[in-house]
Amino acid sequence: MFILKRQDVDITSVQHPTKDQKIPILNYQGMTFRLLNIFPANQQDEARALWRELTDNQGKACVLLEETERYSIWGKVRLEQLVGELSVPKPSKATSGGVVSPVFTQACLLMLQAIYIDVEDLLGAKQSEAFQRDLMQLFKQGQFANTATPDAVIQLLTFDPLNSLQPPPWQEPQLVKLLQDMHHLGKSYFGGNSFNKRVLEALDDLSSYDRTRFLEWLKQSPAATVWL
Amino acid sequence: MKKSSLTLFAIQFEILFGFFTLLFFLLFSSSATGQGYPIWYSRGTTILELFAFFLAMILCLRNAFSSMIVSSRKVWLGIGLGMLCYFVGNIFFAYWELGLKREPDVSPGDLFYILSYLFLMVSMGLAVFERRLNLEGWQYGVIGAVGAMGVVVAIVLSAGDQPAAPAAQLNPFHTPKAIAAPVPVKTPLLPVQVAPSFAPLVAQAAAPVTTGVPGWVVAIEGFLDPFKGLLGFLYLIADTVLLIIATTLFLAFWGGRFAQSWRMIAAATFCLYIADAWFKFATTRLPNYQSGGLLEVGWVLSAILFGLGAALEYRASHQRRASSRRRA
Repeated sequence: MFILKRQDVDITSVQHPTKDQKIPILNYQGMTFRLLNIFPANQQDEARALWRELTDNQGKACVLLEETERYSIWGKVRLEQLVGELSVPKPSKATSGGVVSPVFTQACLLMLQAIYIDVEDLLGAKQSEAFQRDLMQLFKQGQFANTATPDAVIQLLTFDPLNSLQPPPWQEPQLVKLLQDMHHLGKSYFGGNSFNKRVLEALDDLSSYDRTRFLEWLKQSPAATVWL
Repeated sequence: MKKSSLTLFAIQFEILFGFFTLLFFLLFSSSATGQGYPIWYSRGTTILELFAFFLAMILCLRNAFSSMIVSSRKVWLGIGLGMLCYFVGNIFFAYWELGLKREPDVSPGDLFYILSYLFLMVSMGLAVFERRLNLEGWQYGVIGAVGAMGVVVAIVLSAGDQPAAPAAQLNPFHTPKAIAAPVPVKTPLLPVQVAPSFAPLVAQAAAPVTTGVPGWVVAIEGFLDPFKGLLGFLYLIADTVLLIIATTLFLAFWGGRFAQSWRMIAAATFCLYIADAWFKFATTRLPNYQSGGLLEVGWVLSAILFGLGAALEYRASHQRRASSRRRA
């Protein structure tokens, strides 16, 4: 849609409705955009590719903001919708168990993305499309929030979970189920579990404190048998 | 990283080795005189082939003992053992032909070749059945066409099989005045019984010349001889099965780095098929065929390509795209 420079736009922030957190908002010609992803300056190509993917192939209204030290991608929102979207939903009856720390969800997403990248890299585009379809199915069965559309799933697979605003509000049992199903899926694609090691390496992106906490939690969860 | 540079060296070495082999065959396979090939040529091809299979075995087993390998380790263990059996089979084959100066169309090596095919079929089959392929209609069509072609050629080549000669009439190792010119053959398009094309030759042959040949050699040949035609046919069918498996894999993973290694393995099975088809043709239709014909380069190339496939997969499994969207 637009490729803009810093002087073209206005960046403000709004207060997150429930958390003590500011959300960066980009204003341009009366439209508002929220931050989706940030790339350092040396990843200009990746930033452009993602922006092109979102605008051309997925028909999204996106802004690519080019600054000297970084590139960022912003998606169009309406402010009232944004505030509504961000308030955490009440736990539904289908899932018991509390909301886990968002860090655990981020960790799971890192692992999921690592599997997905591996499928795409090693097994080719056809298999990665099939993987997306299987994942949709999986999210549907587990009634995961924020995964209703293919676009939403692709976002989960491509956006940096540590830099996006907030991971989806999934419950603890859902995370456990996702971890188990993810492993099952990986096994059916790779035919073995040699991918375990590579996927767990993705957790190195977390801070060492978060990583230790997540692994502690994983060790005690039913998903430990397949992953550790 | 030391490991990856070693793998890169293995890949480059296999490619150069392949070119060298091809040149060796191209330049000297026509050097046959009325006496057959010069001894240095026969030894040269034998050594090239033995070395190629040995190297392939090492590279495949290296994958089998690596915990990072993308295919399961069982697959590579099976392929590695298949290469080992082929290597041992070649030793017997060479001993039979060069050491004992017998016709090599059957030798105890065949027992190891059979084992080798069993290993290859089971392990490559595993590679297909343990993962989801998500193939499309046209891809099934391609695979079906490959299979049909392989089987048809095998049947055509086997159509002219000799009825097995009784053991008493085994061909003696050829004398200098034996015919070296190939007998022109009309390949029948349908598997019909044709007159044995070298019946006159068998008739000429006196009682087998067994001087200087151990009794057990004659006994083994006598035992294996009835299976001669069947074995050649079975090898071609087994090659076809391997070709189908490898084609399936590289079509299914088209575009991924995993497909690189299976493309090599598909090429390897194709070379194996070509060489086996030629050998079947030559031992059936050409009198006193001595191995070393140009198309036998397929055996060496197939070993080289198996090794190359193993090395490529090792590289793909160990050097990967950073599995993270975040980079420091």
